[in-house]
Amino acid sequence: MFDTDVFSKTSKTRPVSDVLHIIILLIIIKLLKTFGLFITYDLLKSYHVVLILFLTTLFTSICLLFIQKPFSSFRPNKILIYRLIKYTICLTIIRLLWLFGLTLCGPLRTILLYEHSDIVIIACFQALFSSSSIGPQGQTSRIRGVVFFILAVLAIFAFDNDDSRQNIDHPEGHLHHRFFAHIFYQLTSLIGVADHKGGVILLLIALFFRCGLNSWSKKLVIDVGGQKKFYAITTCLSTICLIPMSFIILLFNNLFPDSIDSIRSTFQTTISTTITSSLFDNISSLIIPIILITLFLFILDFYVEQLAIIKLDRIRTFRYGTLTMIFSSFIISFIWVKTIRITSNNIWFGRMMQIEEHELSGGVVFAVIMFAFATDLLISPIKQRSGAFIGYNQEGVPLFNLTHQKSQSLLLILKSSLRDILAESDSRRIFYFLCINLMFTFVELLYGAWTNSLGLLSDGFHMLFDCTALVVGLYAALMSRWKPTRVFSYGYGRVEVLSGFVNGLFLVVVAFFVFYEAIGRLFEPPEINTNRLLFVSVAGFAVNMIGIFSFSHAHAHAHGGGGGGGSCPMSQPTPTKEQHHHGHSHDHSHSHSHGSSSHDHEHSHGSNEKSSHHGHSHALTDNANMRGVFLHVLADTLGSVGVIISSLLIQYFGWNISDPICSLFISIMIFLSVIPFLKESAMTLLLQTPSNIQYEILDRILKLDQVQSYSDEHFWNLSSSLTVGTIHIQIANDGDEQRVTAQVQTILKEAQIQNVAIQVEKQAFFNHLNGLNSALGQLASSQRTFSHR
Amino acid sequence: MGKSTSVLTSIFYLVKSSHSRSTIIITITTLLICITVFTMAGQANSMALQAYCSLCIFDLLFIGTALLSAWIMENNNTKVRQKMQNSNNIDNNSINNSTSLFIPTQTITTFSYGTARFEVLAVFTSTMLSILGAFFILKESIEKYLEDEIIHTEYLMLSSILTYIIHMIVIYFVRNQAFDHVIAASSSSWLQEHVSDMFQSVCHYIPGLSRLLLPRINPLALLCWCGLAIVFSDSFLLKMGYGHFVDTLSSLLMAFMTFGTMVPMAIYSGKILLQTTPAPMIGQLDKCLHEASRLDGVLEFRHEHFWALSFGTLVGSLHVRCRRDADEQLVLAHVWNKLANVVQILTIHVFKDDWLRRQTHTFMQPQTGNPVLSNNPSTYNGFVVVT
Repeated sequence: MFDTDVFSKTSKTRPVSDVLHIIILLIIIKLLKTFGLFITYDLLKSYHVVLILFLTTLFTSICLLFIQKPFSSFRPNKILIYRLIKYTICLTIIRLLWLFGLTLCGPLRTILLYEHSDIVIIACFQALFSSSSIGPQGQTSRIRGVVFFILAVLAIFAFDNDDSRQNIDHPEGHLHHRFFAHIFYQLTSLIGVADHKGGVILLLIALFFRCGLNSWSKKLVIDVGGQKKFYAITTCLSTICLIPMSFIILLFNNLFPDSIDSIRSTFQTTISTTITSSLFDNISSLIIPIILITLFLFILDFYVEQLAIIKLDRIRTFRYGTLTMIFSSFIISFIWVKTIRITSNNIWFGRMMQIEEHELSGGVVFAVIMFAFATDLLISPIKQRSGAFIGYNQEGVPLFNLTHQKSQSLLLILKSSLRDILAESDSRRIFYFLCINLMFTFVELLYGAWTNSLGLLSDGFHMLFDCTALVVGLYAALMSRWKPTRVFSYGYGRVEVLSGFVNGLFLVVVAFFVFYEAIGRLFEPPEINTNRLLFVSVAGFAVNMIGIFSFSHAHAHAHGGGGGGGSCPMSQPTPTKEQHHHGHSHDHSHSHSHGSSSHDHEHSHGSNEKSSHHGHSHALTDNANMRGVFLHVLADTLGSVGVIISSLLIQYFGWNISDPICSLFISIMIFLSVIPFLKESAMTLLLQTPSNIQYEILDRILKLDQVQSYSDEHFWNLSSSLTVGTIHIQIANDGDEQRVTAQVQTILKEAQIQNVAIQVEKQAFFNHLNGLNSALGQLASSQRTFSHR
Repeated sequence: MGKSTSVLTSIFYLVKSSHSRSTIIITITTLLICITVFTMAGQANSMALQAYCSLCIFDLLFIGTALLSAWIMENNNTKVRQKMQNSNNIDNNSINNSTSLFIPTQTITTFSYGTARFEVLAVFTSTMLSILGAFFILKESIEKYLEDEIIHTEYLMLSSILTYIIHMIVIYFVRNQAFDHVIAASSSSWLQEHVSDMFQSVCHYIPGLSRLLLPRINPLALLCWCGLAIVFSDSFLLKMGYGHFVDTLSSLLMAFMTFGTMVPMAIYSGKILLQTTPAPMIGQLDKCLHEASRLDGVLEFRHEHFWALSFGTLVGSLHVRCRRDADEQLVLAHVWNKLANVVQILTIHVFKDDWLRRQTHTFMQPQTGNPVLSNNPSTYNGFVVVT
């Protein structure tokens, strides 16, 4: 692994005083590099990216050829050259991206985003994707680092209002890279982000590419023979790569000078300064900065960093380097912006400064701080990376378990869980319905995104939200079949009850929020756009009907109930714009438990009748989980019905006020209908004695031969089908325990209690306990039987 | 229905009793503030504020849990009193609706284990409701983001400070045994872990703060602090004109923090509801079982079920297969003696193999003197017993 060797080196760090000169050198070089980037940015305003890159790499390769003489002892073979060329092309593309990002984002943001060491990025990915490998202590700080990093990127991306610039040079900002820029603008406008945000994305892509490339090229470096030689060779190759490109660019610029000039002239009106000249006039003013850039960015930086890696170690090098660059760029850009403000038409290297600059904003300041924290946290070595201690071997040497949790392939897990799901009818039914629901949701989301309809999109999110109830149900149905374990000694059957309870609570929350929103809307009924609403709600209704049918077949009771003709009404209000809240309506379904008295507003509607029938039929299921899921689906269905009705109402009568009133009504209905179900599952969870355990059963026990009394009788429903019990029985001294046990067991078996534990006590038991000085506190009641005689 | 009325009367009793008067005042205040704050949140149209104000709802649930556990405690006291009375006149099975649950009678009571489990369910319900509420807010905030409505920032400060104050009062001034236990016993939330990690590194530099910062922080208070910080920065950024994205982001953050805080508590209480062995007890139980299995006459244990009834009460049932010639009462007493210290409510089912067949041979076993016992070697079924 990449970072194992990195972090292992930390053990031999030298004291700071020994390497102070190197640290100072590093810091100075990084400062110069920052400075160089700012110069580059200014240059890029007037020249094309490819041209600048070509010239710098050209100079760099000339310098390196003299310093390094890479080809003197280089014995190439075909494969090596092939790999080198591949690497070089990638490198060139990354550098182009980087420079292009620089033109878009400005130097400060470029440094913030791009100048991270590979260690940081890899640590990020590790913390995100392989959670098991690192100890808990290191893990928290790592995760915090990652969060900081993400926050910082987000801050630059979203909270950095760099808008002033975009107003001026929007569609085709930097005139020289027309071709690239044009494509890029097309792309970003397609995604819908501003161009500086596009630059952020570009820089991030470049950063990740660079990390990948660096770790991929590790072996290549060794094959070539050393980092420096490798660097020299790839730079030379990259120069060769860039030759054709830069020629094409030059050709383009010479072919269409008019268009450039026209753009430039329009540009100048905004800038209010002059100076337009052909490209080659300012070659002299180009050469000096190019040489500076070459030195700062590509030569000095590289050599000093190599030195620092050897003398210090990687971690410290990168930490100091990155932190220096972040803070120095922050300060420099501060000064830079100021100087520009003061001398707004100052000539810098013979080129015009533009007024509109990437200024500092709160987002950037925040990002600087966050990046500093993130770098510090992510780059700090993890303290211990040991395996789990198992024990000692025969020689007394401690044994460690270094194998981490064996990770199965995702595919296998999916396959096996799919098989489990399909094995039983309950989970299969939920799963199929979930699939249909999800498919519908995605179609809706896609279509909403395509037609740019907010109503569809938010409805899609709503459906997604509803799907979670199904997922909970599915998982519980799956889990309830797991084998009992040491901790779950009764098996996982109760999970179903609990998930039913949670689903019930879910509906309560939904009801509450609908109620809350309806009250808010009661005072100011919003205008509702019924457009397209009808179609969506009919589709949603159809999908939910499938669910109702499939779940209803699960229960033996067919749909018979008599909702009768014109009951059900619940004109479900469409809340705000056009989303309908499914999931709130849900009334009659459960009302049978209260007698179906509750719905009587009439707008009879053919479709509701069906749903009301189902409602009646299904409440009788015994499986709490399935019942919870069913309730949810039913609520959804009635919600769609409500939307259909209310949208019709609004469309034809324009009763906007009816909407919140119906909302209120429906939320109350949901609440009332969930309560019985909630109460029932809560009673199971509270270990209520099932009602079918009759007094006569215990009476029969009492009437058995030799039995004197019983105590501590506990019977409860483990899950919907299984009843468990424990009981203490006091018998006479001459009674036979096993006989009594067997008799009691038979009695309880007849009462459908499967798993029983019977403790048969005699007077001798208490005598023994007294002899053992044992705690008698909890036996007080059973002992009383004996003491009272 | 009769039961619920009895619950109601109990609650009214609580209202009347002096020790819970402050709780009642706090409850009413919370209710009022809850309504105000939610009205404001509705006016402000800010999801972050709504997410923060849902802490108020949680406060109501918290107070409900507190009342419930007070009621349970009260019930337990009456139970003790009733027991004393009962020992005097055992026949007098006064049907005293709710309190009659605790009188050991020969009738079946609805909740054979008493009402201690109500607390667990209350904690689970309130944590679960706030998790689901956070989830709902997550969804709502995405929808709001799509809708793009104007947010009025003027309400943000006032209502968040109100929420903060009431939440702090509720957490620190309402005595709530159930939540205290859960907070102490459940694993720390990610928020707590990160904050303690940060504080540790702060204390690394400023050791003087260690007494203030190092103890475990109440997760609910922490949630409140972080939420306040988020709402403040949200209103600041909104005033700076950063638009909806800030609001959506901060409400998402709030929702995730609520998740993080509530999930460990919900898991802890949910596990109790699922009748599982609490993880810290496993080691102790194993030790006791191991000791018990070495007792004379014990062959093996089957169907060991040990589970937590409520916070700190362990219930167990166990099947013990004992040797055919063993004295069952003696085995029972010994096993009981080993386990009773750990398991508060215990049922031990002692059984023997083939006890029916043994009875036909009873007369052939004179050596034990006890007709119940037998050690006919032909029925040992391959179990080698060394006594």
